[in-house]
Amino acid sequence: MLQMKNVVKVYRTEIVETHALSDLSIHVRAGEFVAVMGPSGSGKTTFLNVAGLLDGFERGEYLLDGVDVRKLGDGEKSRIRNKKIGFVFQSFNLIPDLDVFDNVDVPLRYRRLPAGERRDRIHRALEQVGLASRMRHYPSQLSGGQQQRVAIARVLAGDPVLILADEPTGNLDSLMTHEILDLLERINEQGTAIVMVTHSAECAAHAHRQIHLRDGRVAELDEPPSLVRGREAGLVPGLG
Amino acid sequence: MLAYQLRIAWKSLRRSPAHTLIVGGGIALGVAVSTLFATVRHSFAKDPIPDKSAVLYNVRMDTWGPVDPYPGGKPPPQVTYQDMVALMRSDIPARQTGTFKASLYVFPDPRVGRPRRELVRLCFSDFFPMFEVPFRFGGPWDRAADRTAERVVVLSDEMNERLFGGEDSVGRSVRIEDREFRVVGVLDRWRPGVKFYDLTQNPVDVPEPIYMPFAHMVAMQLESSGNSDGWRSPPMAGFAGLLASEQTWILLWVELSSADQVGRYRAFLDAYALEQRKAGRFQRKLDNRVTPVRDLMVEAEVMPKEADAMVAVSLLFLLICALNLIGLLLGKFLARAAEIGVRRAMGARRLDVFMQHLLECELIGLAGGAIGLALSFGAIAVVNLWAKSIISRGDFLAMDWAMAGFAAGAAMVAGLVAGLYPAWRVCRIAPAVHLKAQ
Repeated sequence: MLQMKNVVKVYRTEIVETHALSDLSIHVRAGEFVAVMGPSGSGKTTFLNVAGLLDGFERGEYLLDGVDVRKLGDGEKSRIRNKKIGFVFQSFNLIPDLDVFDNVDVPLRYRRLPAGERRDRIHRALEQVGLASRMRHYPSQLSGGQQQRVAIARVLAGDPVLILADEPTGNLDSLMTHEILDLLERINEQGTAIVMVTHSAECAAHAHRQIHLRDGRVAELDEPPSLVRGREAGLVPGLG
Repeated sequence: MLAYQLRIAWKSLRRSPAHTLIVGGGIALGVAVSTLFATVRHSFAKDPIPDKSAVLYNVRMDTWGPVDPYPGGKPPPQVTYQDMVALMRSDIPARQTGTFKASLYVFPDPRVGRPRRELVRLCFSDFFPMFEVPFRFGGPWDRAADRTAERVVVLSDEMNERLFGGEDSVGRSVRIEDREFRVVGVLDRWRPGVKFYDLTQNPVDVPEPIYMPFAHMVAMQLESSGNSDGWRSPPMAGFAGLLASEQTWILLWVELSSADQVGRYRAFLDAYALEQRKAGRFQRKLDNRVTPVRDLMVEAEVMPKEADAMVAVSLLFLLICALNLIGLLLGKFLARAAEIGVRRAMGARRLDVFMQHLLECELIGLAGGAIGLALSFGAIAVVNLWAKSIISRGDFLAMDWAMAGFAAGAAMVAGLVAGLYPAWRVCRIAPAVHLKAQ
């Protein structure tokens, strides 16, 4: 699904050159739920941006769902973001001028789907996150947890194969955190791969696997006992 | 997608009404000024008789003396009486008319008003169909009346209003000088932009209020109240001397419907001039001209020389207005970087972001254009009011579809100029930077 090999990402200013990713190699399989952890400045967000085709990289290889993204232009990258990737952000990133329905509609608009299909997908997605009754509310009229559920509905409506979540519970209280993590787990169980950047070990424990980044490269690779048990029971795919 | 982008643009404009007002106002001001000056130019330059300007030709002959040329080195703008009579014997033109204006006393019913001098155009019956003169009542006199100097007249709508209160006055009588004339036709409102059939004096004057058969010139011994040029004294005294003289005071127009007809008519003019040369006239190099309406307008320099410069300056003003708005739009768009980042993450291409913002600029440009158009209507009305005191006509500057199109085009170009750079900048924003920052 997501295969990075020796990816290098450098940020340059006039006086300083920062290696945000240094020969980073990560492999995430279809249907996996991976937590990416690490201290501030370890390259978690840069990894997520590169993985989500929101940022380029200097060297290395990156295959997304079998496609070598280095060769792609803006249009093609945008199409892949639109069809294959769903983003969940710490600060929700809903558009304040648009109501819930229109926020969920954003990726579908860029996919140029017919109105009827868009409407069906939006309704289904909002029902899945339990916000079907709030369709005409604006983000400012919702709680943080509700806003994040709208953001997840926006992802669900697009039916991606990969969700990239950047600290999705970072702005939420513990109750809301559990709610969102449960939701993500349910989505993952339906076959969507999730890569979640988080500081929280508690959140990371919901993932099948944890990847620790330090100084822009993978520090260690752990499989939590729950995943081993899950794989043995045939509930999750094996790791390569 | 276009409808969606329009909706987003509309929301964005409503989100910051003050900003929208300033940007739209800037474009409106530029559009108003440039549309006003473009209308001034257009009013002088537009085809005054589009359906027929290609077949109507003004006839000139260089009858001037051998010593000095007519001022400007061209043939005089009008012809002599003797040449007009000779040339109108040609059967090449489908229609033709000699014409001049005289200033004559008109005696209304004493209950209506006092006698006063009015401009009367003497012409042949072909004048009316040639120049597409519209009639409200009756019609032109017939060709027989041209030959017999029948006492008939055609009145303008305004003159009919003054003399007969606007009624159908066909068949009624009006006294001009010492004779009674029967009204055969009343014109509908006729206001060609430029008075193309007579450019010898004020080219934006209104048409004359009264028309009568040319033959009355001889019968009433009428002289022109317009320009009259000559290069030598008449051969004899009195009116007969004027008719036989080299004095030019008659405009001659012919209607020629094909290039072949034009060629034949030119040959006819040259043959006539060569024949006259044998009698001692036309001593200069042959220079006979058959000029279509629009070429004549250019030659007569109907459009003020400053008109082009004024339009250029006003467009420059619009450009400056648009350029000044770049910073404002850029600021607004960059403040929205986080939303753009979200849209990019959700699959919007750079082109989608670019088009959405350009569309917003075009929308505001069009709104500004609409306001600018309304402002230019007001400005035109003010200029017309001022012009009325100078040229006794308050309708010369007229907005038409062409000018409305100009205003819309200017507004869209202004929107493009103002929006192109901000839209380009904003579509180049790296989405990753702003997603985290929101």
